[in-house]
Amino acid sequence: MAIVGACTRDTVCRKDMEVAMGVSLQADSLNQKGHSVKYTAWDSITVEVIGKSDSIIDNRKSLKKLTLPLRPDTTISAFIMTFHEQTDTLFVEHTPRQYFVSLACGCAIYHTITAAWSTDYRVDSVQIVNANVENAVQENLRIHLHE
Amino acid sequence: MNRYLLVILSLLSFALCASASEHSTDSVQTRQYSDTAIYQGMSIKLDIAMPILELVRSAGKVQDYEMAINMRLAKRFYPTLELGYAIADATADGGHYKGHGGFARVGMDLSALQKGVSENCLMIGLRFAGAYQGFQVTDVPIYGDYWPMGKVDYFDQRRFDCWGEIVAGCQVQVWKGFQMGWYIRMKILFTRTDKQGDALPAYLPGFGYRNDTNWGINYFLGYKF
Repeated sequence: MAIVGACTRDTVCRKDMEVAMGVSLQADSLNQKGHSVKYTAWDSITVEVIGKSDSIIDNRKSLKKLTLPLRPDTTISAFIMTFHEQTDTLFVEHTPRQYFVSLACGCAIYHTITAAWSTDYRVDSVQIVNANVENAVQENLRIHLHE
Repeated sequence: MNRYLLVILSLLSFALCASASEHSTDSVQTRQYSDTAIYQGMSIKLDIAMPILELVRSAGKVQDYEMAINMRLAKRFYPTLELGYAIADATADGGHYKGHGGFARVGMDLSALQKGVSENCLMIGLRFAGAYQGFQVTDVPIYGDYWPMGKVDYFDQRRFDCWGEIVAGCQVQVWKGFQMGWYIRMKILFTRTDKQGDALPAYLPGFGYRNDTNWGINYFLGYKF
């Protein structure tokens, strides 16, 4: 049975095929005792994708990471991020590439990030941590916010 | 059904091995080689297990034919060359694959039990194998939860894959120079991904369906010269 079983194939995909850019948010500030504190979880964040009418993140609480879908048909994706009524636009330049996973799963679109920048109302800087976007669990960008 | 076929083939081979081992001196051989000769004959074998198994398992959508040539050297070493051809057609949620190609395996078997002149033996061995095929994968969906995408086709694809095998089996002389026996193979694929993200064939000739490891069985009929 093991021999026959090992020779068969999957016809249904068992792999998580979601691919999205992972973005973490950080800010450094001083607490009441004058010690430096790093904030990594955020409230009241809304994110919209330019090119789509609906928000992908709508006023979420205690958000530690944004998972943003890059456009497969162009090389620039833009996201409008609102932090407590302060709005910034994040631009990401990327190269999409088709990646065949398997006959059970089909294709995914992976991306290589070549540049990322933002307006600076609330955003201080944008850092590329991992340029290869190949799943939905990794951290690709780190956004530093003004406190 | 497949399981019963394998069990029957295995039991038949074990019975032949046991019987041949007891009566090895009665075996009729076409040609006797000196006990001290390095070269002690060559065999050609034709596999009948895979065509039957695939006929049952895939209703003929996969056809896998193979033959082997081996020499007997210094009583217990069997350098082996195996050649084959396969045609495959498979459908899954991620597309429709069609391919065909040839494969070759080279390796060495070692007679595990005896050093005598008898042709009946249990064997263990290693293989290095490669397969080259032409294939196409069509109707492949592009996954996209947020940005819906269509489907893509990969036509006129060519690919070389290679793998290693650990094999075990037995070989018995049944009548004059005619032999039969079986091999069980554990296969380990070396070429598991494509760095460019191109289409991968769902079936590899000589290896089976694409997995990191695979099992295989051959039941062969042969003739020793």
